Amino acid sequence: MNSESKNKSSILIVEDENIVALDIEQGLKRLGYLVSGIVNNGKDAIKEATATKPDLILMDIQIQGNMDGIETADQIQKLLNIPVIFLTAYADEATLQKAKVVGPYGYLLKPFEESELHTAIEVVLQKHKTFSAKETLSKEALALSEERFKLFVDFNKEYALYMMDKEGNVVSWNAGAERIEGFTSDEIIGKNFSIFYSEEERQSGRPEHDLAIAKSEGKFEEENWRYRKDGTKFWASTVITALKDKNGQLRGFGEVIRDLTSVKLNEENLQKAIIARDEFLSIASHELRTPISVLSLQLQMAQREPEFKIDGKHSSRLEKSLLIAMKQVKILENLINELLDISRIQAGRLEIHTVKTDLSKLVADVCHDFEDAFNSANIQLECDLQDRVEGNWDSFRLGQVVTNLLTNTLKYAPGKPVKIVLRSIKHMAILTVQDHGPGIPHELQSKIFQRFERASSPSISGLGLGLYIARKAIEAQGGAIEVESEVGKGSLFKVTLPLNRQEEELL
Amino acid sequence: MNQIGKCGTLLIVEDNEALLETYKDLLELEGYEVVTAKNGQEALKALEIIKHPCLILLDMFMPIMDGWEFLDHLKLRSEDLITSLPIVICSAAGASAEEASKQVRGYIRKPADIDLLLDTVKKFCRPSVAND
Repeated sequence: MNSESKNKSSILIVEDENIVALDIEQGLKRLGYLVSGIVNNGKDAIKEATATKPDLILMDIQIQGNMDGIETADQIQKLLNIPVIFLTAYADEATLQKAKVVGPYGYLLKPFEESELHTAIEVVLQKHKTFSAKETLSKEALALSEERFKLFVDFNKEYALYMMDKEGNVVSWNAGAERIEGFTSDEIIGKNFSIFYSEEERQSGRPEHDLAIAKSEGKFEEENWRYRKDGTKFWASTVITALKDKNGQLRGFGEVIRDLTSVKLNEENLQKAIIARDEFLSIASHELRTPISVLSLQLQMAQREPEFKIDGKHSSRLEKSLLIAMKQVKILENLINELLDISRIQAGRLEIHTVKTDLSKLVADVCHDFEDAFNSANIQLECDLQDRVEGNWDSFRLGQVVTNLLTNTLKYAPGKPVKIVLRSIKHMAILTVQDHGPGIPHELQSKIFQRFERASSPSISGLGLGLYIARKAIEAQGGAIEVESEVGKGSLFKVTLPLNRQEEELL
Repeated sequence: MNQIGKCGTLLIVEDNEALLETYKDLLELEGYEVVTAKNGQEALKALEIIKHPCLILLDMFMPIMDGWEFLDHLKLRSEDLITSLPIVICSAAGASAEEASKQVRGYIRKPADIDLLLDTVKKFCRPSVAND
């Protein structure tokens, strides 16, 4: 009997009609179940269930006392986690819906057959067993995950992670917070987080302000200098998150801080290095320019010197020397000017002085200056320039642009014809320079307008600044420069400039 | 030196000695009379002797007294001195020098092209000795 009763499921019957209760008891016994008790009201049902812990409760919905079966089942579920089967004579929807909310495992409509009772009990017991097993598992998993999370937070040294109550009083403190802020958890828990702000910030209400932002926006984020317990400062990346429950009620705040001092210092050092480089560039090019201009003037003077002239002409050897020296001085001058321009562009000081300029004449003049160079590079230069293309431009800068484009054809496309076309279309001047050199691979085409970028092998001379300066000079005048190029076929550089910027902007 | 003060003398104000010497040689070669000053202070002193130079070629960045201070001193002496004196700024200082040049007769961007320099001088001065 004893061993038998161990395998039998025990069932509590809650039923206020005695005859029905006894009838059910008989049936259960016949089916091999153990009846742990029979009660007729909710209060006794809870007492009995607590005492005997039955495997299942058969619960009549209409019972004595001020709790009905549904309420009683609800209480028992909360306290004891025992499955319930409702027994009811009424199949009305409202009652069934109410019963479902409580979460019964099943219900039987009275009167029922013994076999129906049997099936219902077995199904519910099986369901309950599976459910309980799952619940145990997930509870264990949750506990494990919570433990892991706690370890992760507590022992994380990279991030200061701490929580505060609604008023900003610290309630938790991890190892990272101790490392970064310098306070141990004993020193800080219970203190207000305003302690992390400077006296000045506290006076101006910064701590309250930051919490208010976190509360209204969900989070508050900033990067700034913060002070450790010992008064030393560190560059902190801070996020304060408002912790709200599912009803939107504020429960407190979580704060995450990273010490980014070394990143910040690196950044600052980098900035300083860039500024120092640009200053150096500016000073160096200025310093280089003075002796070069003296050299240039002296050479030009020598070229005019009557003492060296024989029959009003220089001796051809001396003339050649002076010519070569002068050419080299020009090259030096241009290199120095490029460096100076770069330092000006970097400092945002590329000056544009616009005057009424005939681009046609300007291009023709530059082409004329290049005649000898093109001849010796065996380049046939074709100029197709529309007459009088006038606009308000910086003639010095445009001369520089055309010079840079022609210098590039000399460097990259010797021995092949070059064509320059100038047209005025609507309110724009369009200048194109077409060569038949090696062309520029597609992926390099946007790079060539950047600083220190060249599409070529290092065997070609130059600083890689020409097109960058050209682009900056053109953009500063409201224009644009672009390239179309195909490897093996050549390149076409196209400059577009508004004829009159003011008018252009007014239109 | 006995010609100092005579109308037709150029005053060159430039702190770089090599450049100053070059300007002087070049212009003297072209037949001009040239007086030099290494800074604004020296230029003010020179102006006490040559009251009416035919042209003042003025560098801006100089020690002791720079070009801007020099112009301010002139203005202090007399408001119209700055307009009555033919001054051309010759500088590499960029925008700040160009801005200053608006109150004077002209501006030459350094490094000066020899032809531009001679053309500018020709506009204001006449060589006292015929060249070539």
